[in-house]
Amino acid sequence: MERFLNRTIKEIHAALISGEVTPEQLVAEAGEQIARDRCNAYEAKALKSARRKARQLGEIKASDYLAGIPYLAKDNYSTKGVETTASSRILEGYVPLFDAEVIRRLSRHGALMVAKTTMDELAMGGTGTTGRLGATHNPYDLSRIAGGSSCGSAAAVAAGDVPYALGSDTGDSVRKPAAYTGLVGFKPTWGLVSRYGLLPFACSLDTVGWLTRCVWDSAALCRALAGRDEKDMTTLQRPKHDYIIDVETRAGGRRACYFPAVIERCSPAVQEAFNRVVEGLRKQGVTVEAYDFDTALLDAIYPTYMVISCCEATSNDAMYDGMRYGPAGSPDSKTYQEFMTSARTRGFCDLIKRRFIIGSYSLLAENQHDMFQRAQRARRVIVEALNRMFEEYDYLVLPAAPTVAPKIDELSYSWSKEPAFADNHLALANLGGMPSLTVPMGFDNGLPLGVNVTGKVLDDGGVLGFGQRIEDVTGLVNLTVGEVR
Amino acid sequence: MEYKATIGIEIHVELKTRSKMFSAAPNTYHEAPNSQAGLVDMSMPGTLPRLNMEAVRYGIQLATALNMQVDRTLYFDRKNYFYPDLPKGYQITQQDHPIGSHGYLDLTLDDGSNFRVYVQRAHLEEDTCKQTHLADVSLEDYNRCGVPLIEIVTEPCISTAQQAAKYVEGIREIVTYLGISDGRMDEGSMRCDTNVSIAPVGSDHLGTKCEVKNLNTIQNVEAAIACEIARQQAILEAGGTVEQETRRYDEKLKQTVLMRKKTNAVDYKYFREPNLPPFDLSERFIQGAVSSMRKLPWVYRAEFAKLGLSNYEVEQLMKDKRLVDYFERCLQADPKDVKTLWSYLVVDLQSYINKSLSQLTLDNLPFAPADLVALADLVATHAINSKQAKTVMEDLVSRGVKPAQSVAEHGFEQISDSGAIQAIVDEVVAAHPEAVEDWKHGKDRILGFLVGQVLKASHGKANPSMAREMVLAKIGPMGQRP
Repeated sequence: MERFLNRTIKEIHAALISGEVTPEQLVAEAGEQIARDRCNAYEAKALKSARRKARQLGEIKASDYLAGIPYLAKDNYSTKGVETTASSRILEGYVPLFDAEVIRRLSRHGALMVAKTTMDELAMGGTGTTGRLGATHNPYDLSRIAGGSSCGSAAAVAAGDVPYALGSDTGDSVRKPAAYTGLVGFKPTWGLVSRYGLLPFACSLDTVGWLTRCVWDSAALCRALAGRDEKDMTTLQRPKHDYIIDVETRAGGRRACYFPAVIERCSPAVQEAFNRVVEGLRKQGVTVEAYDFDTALLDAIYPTYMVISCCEATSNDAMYDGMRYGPAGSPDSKTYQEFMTSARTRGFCDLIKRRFIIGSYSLLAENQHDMFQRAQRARRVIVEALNRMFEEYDYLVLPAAPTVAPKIDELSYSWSKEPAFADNHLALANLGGMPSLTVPMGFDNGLPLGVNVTGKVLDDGGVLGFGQRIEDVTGLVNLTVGEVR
Repeated sequence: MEYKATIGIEIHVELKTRSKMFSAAPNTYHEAPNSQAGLVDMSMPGTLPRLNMEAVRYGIQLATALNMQVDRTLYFDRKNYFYPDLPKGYQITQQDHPIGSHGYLDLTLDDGSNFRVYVQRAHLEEDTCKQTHLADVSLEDYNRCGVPLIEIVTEPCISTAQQAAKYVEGIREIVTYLGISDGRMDEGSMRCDTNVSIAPVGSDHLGTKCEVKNLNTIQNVEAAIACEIARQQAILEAGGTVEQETRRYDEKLKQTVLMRKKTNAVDYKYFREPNLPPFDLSERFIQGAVSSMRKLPWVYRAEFAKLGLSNYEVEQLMKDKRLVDYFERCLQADPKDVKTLWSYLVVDLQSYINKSLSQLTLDNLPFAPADLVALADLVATHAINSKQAKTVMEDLVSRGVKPAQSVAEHGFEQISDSGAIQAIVDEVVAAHPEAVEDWKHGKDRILGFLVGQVLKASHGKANPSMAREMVLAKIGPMGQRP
């Protein structure tokens, strides 16, 4: 049977308009793909409601790029009538009463959500191995991770199951998996897209994000999802903007920089691929220069990110007490403390508990000054340094990861005393609320490599335009795994 | 040894906004449990808080009433703790930047002495669920969850139980007059906690404080603080030390009882709420809030005093804001005598309402304020006497009959034509020469007798005061007793 879902949104849309395929056929194809999943990419399925919506869709207009096309949502989006667990036992059986704002907007555009995807538990983790259903595998090599925390979304889109999936990005959770699976991963400016209905990890860093197989598709999603939502007071009031035009015109500045200290710490294959991208950009008339960013600040990224995210997480996740949703606490509980403790003890994995304890410790009155407030100050210093850099350059371009996706059995869950900033620098965009895009840049022994571009706050269109330039250079469009090995 | 007490008071006031502090769910009371809670109130994962600007407006109004500085930028913080009545696991409050700070309230005790209470801060926050503890189960009502609260905290500057009670009464009066809260302590829309410590007079150190919680009437505020001062004094006089405790007032025992020892305080791990960005209040919004403030109690007091009402009359009115509102509406009808109007409103009409079997209130009377003024004016101008006024009042309240019509129906119209009255006076005086003779000999009752005869002859219609004046003019000054 002819396949459609391994094409780009733009191509599938054209096929729908020409009558080559119908939305119902696309949902059926998605169902078959989901059934064949070998990556452990899926949480709850929503094929029945997708079929119903597909049948009810009216005529698809030429500008309705998302209409009739199946997509996936990371399991931390609240989906009405569809179990939402954020891959945590604490939420098993929780069926929300409401749709997240982005789900609602996609639905309004006629998009068809066919399933939820696995993730690191409650979005905390970068390996895609900590969810309640176990490790999610990289479709390019099942012995490797797909990256986290949006592991299922990345694996499924790379496997060609659907053309795009929603992820969420708090430290690099969309952009790192994108690099490991040969996809385009976008994290818009904090406040550009509503977080209403996104189960929080760390609100001041969290953004909605998405994984696609080309930059144009990413822009189409940005156009559909950006905009003020009265339910999220942190969303910005901006005039309507067409990000597709930015991509088609290669909008944005032409001055980019990179940090040599990060490049030096990457594998030879990554360095080689990155240099090819830089050369290609230069040939297009783009300036790409080395920028000497203080390595002390690069070293500070990880502890700063960890302290702030753990503090916010320990508070955000206090709502999971077994009283309103998810498995209840032990019926033998004598006190409310016992009830909540039993629910939480069973509900969270050890890695999460470690983060809660770090967060809680950092927020105690006696420690706040040395931990939480110090991290807040460090965040400000780092972002100020970034903003100084952005006075000289339009974009920061760096390899999204220092190596290819690690092997699952070689992972270490102990906390490094010397965190490698080449592996953590993507969190810069979260600390500063900046738009940031990962685009494929090559392969190392058949495994994908990604390059990341980060821009100024609210220059989302420019970042997407710059991403399109990179795509022009690499020619790597719509990568999918031919056959999952 | 003599001791002085140091008292601080925290008051939580539920704001009477249409919706909740951070959600669109209705803010109501008396509704079926858990029928007034939305997704945000239930802390459904992924929901976000949304600031209620009506609550902010009320906060500005209260801060202004308490002479506070209003913070131009709103910040909110999380207060983190686990408890069944707190679905998010934290309460959104204003820890670092209260909407109002550094204010004061001037008050007068019953003996006329004035004192000032310094108010440290007033901050906006959200209420928790209402818990009902039964024998083997506790029930949660999410209707109350998210109801806007303003917490008002004084400096430890109050020194007697009477002052404390007066302050609580003052706050209650302000919030009800501003219309920002019901101020019902019995229903929990205003809740009061107090910190009490004592130290020897002259000492520059404060004693160990105890918190006394859940004082649900103003009388209890005064009683609880008085007992607590006495309890601490007894301990110190017996050579003991006061321990830091949380206590509550037991109305039956008439003493404070231990709730828990405060070994180490809970660490609430406060931090800024990331989902509510700092919110700059425009000058226009603040000015709008201030200019739309309803009249404050002391403004009414000054206005009523200027009208000539006595202190007692003013306070009788002030007890009930609805009475004040009604009185103000009456004033618009330009009454001839304010004291007479006061008496017919506060004494006569009130007692009618209290006695009425139907659900009569000031809001559903079958007549307009101007009609009550018309009645008071008839009395003030002696057009009818007080006995007739009672009948007119009866008609007015029970059937809504206008006073003029009632007077006509009952034939209460008085003769105020001086010529007609003079004729009757002349007749009566001429008919009672012996009485006039007695008057000349100092019999003071004669005046009343003659006036009575005049009224009788006029079938009760002669204006009594005119009749009295004319009789007096006719018979001249009273003579000396022989």
